[in-house]
Amino acid sequence: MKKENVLEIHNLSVSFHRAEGETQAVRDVSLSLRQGEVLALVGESGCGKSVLCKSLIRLLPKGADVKSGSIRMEGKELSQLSEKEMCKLRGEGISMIFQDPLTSLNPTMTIGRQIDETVKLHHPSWKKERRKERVLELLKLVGIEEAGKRYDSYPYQFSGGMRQRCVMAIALACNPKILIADEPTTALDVTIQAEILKQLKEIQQKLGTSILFVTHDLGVVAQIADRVAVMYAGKIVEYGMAEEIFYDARHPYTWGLLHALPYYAKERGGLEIIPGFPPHLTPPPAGDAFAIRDQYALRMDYEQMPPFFAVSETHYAATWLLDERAAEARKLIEERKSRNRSIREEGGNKDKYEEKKEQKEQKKEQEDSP
Amino acid sequence: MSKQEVLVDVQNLSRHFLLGKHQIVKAVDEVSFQIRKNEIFGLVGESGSGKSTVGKCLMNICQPTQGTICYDGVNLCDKREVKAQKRKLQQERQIIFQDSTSALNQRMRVEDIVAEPLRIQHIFSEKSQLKQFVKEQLEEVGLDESYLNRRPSELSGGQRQRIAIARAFGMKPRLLIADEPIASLDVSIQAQIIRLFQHLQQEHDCAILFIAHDLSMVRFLSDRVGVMQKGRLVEVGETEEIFSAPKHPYTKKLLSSIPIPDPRAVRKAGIEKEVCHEDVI
Repeated sequence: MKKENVLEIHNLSVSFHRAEGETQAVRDVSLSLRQGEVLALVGESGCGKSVLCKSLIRLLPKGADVKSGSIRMEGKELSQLSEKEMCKLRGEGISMIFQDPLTSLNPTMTIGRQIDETVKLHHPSWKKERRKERVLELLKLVGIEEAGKRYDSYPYQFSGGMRQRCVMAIALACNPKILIADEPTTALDVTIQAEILKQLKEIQQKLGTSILFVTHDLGVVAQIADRVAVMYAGKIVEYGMAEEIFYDARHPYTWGLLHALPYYAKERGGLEIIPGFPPHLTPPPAGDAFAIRDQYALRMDYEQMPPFFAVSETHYAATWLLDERAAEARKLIEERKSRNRSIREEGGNKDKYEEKKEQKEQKKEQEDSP
Repeated sequence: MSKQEVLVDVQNLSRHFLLGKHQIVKAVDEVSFQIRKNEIFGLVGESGSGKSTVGKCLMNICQPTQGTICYDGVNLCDKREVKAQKRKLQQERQIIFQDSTSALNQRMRVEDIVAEPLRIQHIFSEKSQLKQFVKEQLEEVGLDESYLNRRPSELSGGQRQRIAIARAFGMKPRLLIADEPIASLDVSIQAQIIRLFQHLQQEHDCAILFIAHDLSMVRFLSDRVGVMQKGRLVEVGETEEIFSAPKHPYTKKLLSSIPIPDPRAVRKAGIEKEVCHEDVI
């Protein structure tokens, strides 16, 4: 059964206008978010993840504007809405959790009042008691114990994890259909991060909210996401179900990201790195922006922007490697990979640093035994 | 394997901070561990567990309240001894901070930043030699000549961290303290920096105290690991020992909360957890 799309983005481009020229932060992005799913948006800093999110709720900073494309929520075109209608939509339709829980809370207001503020704005007819009831309900929902006592606490009395829970409560105050979480756990410790992720997943299942989860941590993605979209230099380069991305990635950038994780380093015999740095987007490079860092790049990648090729019904990747004409290159890469794998299994082709290390250890042992 | 020589011996190190008259924060509390020569020692723990304070004590940036730190025969807690050996200590111990933006002087050029400690130590008598050395150092961290005249504000986070690494390794240190050097970097850049650390450590034979909260990187990089919780060192041991058979409950909790980038494993773990849960009930 195919679920309905709650949010559809078509060919969205966002640019910043600066003295040096136009910076294309988001380039021709098309994405859809389905009812009740968690879509993870993965990418490095500066690849346009946050700009994309902010354009969804029309909170772009000054100097940035949507150049082209459309954002539709349940058939409604967001760019056509007036500011007043948009205000209503923020909170009830789409709401957002930001990265740093400290800066998103007002230090001079109690937690209860800050959550109440949102409830009050969207339900002006509600009486005070009813609103308080709702706030306490929300605090319980996000896992804050003794909600009654905590109602009158200030943000500084809370730890980082608790603060992020409060921010979650504010975002969920009006039962939004879509929740955008912009790196909500990056500023937190691993143990707290695990708790928050669990809580978020529980809430999502309880309320049926669709979540757009922005992160750079593939570990976090594996915990929470149903679908994954990988972004590089303002463009989506690959998207598909979480399993397809983790076990059957097709874009060289996704390979690079996965192989740069220490988790996979052991079986691959060392960390593989993506050489170089992300490109500048003023102006963006012609062709595939990743080509200059890509060891598998084809000549075509430098010249022409690759379109999306379908790998399966749900899995798409933008790389010329998937073109019919690149069948030979694909074969070569497969061969190279399997060869590397078999060599590694034999233990021959060790990482050169590991090799050095072993040599050194041997030397040391020789020295130790006179 | 025979026991290797100890480079740093930390015994009962404590560092307390006074908050007002009556409140004491025990940032580091009775911590003892050793760093051997040429090893990478990982120090992990949550934020606020006192990892960085240990690092700072080893650099004499902050004075310990109690305990002794013995670095290669020099007692770092004795001011007189430190003063007498100042030159040696300053050259042999180097530190890399988490936030490369504030660790580098924004008004200085990259060349001057890397050359500054070399100038202070009078390592090169001629300017041309110094410049050549700085160039070599930059090459070693993967930056070419064109970076010599740039300023930190023109560089990305990964590049700035490379400059900080070049500056530290330029002094040929025997002990390097890396205080969360990769925490503020992207995944692909993190891997680059870790590879660089491995490479330079092999080349220069120095010991590294690697402070981090990213456990998977620590597992990959370090030879031995210490786990800190609320100022106390709760577990120390060989990396594989700690990661495969943690003894302290806090270490177990910390390890189980590492996000595994493997959806199938996550699902499996989730089911196992549920089964365990039912068993308890």
